[in-house]
Amino acid sequence: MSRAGGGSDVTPRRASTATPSGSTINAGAWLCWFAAACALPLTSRNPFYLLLGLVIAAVVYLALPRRTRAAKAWTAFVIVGVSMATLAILFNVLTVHVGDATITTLPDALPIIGGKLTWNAFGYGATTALAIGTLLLSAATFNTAVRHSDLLRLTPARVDTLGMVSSIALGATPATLGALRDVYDAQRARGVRIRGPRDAAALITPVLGMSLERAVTYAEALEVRGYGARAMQPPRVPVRLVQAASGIVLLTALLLLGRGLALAGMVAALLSVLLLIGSVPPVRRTRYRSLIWTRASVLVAALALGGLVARFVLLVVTDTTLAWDAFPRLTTPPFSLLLAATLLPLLAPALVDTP
Amino acid sequence: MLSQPSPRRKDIPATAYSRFAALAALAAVLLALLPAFAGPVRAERPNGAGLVVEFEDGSVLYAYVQFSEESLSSEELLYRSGLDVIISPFAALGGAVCSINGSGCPSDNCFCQSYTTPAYFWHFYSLQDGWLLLPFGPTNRSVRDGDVDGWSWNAGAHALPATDIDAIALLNGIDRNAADPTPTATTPSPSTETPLPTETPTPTVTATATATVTPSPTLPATVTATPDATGTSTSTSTTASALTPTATITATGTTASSATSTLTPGTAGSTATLPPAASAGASPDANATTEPGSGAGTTAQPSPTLTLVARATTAAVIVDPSGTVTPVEVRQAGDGRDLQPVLLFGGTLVVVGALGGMVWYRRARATQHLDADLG
Repeated sequence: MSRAGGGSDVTPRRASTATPSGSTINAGAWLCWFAAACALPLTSRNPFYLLLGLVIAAVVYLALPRRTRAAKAWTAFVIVGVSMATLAILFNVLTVHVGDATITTLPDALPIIGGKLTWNAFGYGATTALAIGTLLLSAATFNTAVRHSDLLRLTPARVDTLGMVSSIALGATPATLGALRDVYDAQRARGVRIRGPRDAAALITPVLGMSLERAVTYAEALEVRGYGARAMQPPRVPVRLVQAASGIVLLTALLLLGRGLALAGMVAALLSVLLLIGSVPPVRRTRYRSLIWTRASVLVAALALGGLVARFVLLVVTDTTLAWDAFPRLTTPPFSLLLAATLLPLLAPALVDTP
Repeated sequence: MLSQPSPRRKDIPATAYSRFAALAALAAVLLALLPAFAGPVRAERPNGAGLVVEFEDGSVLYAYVQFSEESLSSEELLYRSGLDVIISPFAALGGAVCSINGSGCPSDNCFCQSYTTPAYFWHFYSLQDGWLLLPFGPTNRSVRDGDVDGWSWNAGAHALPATDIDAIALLNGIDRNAADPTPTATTPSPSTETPLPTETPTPTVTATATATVTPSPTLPATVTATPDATGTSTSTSTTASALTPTATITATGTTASSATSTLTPGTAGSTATLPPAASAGASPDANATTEPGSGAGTTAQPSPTLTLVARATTAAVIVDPSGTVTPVEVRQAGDGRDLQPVLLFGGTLVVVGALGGMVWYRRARATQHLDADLG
């Protein structure tokens, strides 16, 4: 069975619109999808909705062709994430001895874990794990489907620097995991067998060397492209004043948030960010290829944002809620079909993006 | 083939059989006579602990929790009381009570009103000879049968009333000293002129019943008890002497076959005793009406059958500063665990799963074709 690899596109026709993963949906639409997918685990601890979100993210992830090395590396990332989430459940059950639904009771003589083990703690750990899992899987899907260079082009000119740094940071983990896989394969080809922690040096040392080498390459590439040259020029006085004002507003935002004034604090924080962005002069950029909005891209973006807006409206207008807490009483989480229906548009990439 | 010799049976003499028979007969006779020497048999009563909660507005809540274990922690007692309790864990110190029935602080800032003077937070007491302030949290205290925990939202000085476990149980319609541990139903003295003394609270109606007390001006009261499956009760008075209030109805205990309902309307002390004949799960339409005679201490025996629906093992009443006793709706074990959301979610998950499976299948087939085209 042959495989297309190395990030090359499968057909020449798709070369103009498709991402390396073979997706016909552009980076902008994927960004909308990612924002809508992440909104759920960030705002809800209801296991029903979280599980639904996780299943939807999994369906979309599995529907994507994972042909690039970086995309394959995300699979390992997801596995690590799921393992950590499982540990979170275990940790919660063993250390939080609060709740009304007791599983069993361990002797008090046992340090830390002694006491009653409750389904409440299990529920809390499970919902946390579900939220982490949904976020990870959504991130894996997004990173598998989108090329980082496309994302970088989407960043506003004023936050170009931030976009560049974020892009490098986002790509660091898959790149490291990819390097780990390469080193592992190479060592096995040489007859080195990794049996335990003692053999880890054979893996870690080359990976560390490769990471340093990659960092140096990045730095050289950035320098060649004149990255940071603007920072060498002394900023004008008004710019400094605006940045100072931004800092003061941010401090005010933190104080407001600390006093429990969430809305005012968030508005102040947003104002601070806008001031900071406004103080930076925009970078002049050129584009070789503009973003192409195919019908699939428009549909995915519209459905993702539409679902998000519908969810917000439902929460405001009706008495439905995304909230649920396992403490102090373990109750059945509420479930509304209407709210669940607002999550289904997230399936759109899997349905419209045919290979 | 040689046959194995069978083990020799030991012969038992016939006299031995007769001795065993005689001993068995003697044992049977002794066992039969044992209750006569042991005195009256007392049905086993479930363990019970009390909970007294003093709120900011001065109202006091009395809850009685029955349990089958030998002991449970004060934290567990709070949970089982069915009240809305928020407890925040503080590592090795155990849990701290942040809020009871919405009064107090949120879980993420458990001592939110303790940063200024006067510092308010939930103080934890145990009823010994009087109320004793405990220097630890509810996780670290073990409650046994007859114990009473106290919680007071104060800044140093509590106003928890003097009481005892029997009074708390009676308030909630349970007579701990009764031979038959069945729930009793009593009404509080429905008078607003002389508020109920909190030290010796007047018993209230128990067992899911609605009691209506209608005393005449000369105080022969008409007492109507209407059992209610929902566990709520109302009591009204038609006299100007303000026999308002009334009655508290709480289903108690797991038995309900012969509960006694006692109504005590008014300051004059007339007592209406509603006979029982209570049966669990009976119709909520049964009424009991009684016309007690005039004067104090009158006891009336209403003819209709009072039907009780007994399901709860926890009951609670609240006494406000004016002395009015009202029932508190407490959640029982298993409340809030519904099947409907689970079924709805299951159906949705099946639909999404089917969609996912279809997509996956299409993707797999398309990839197969693509690979075949590429050679």
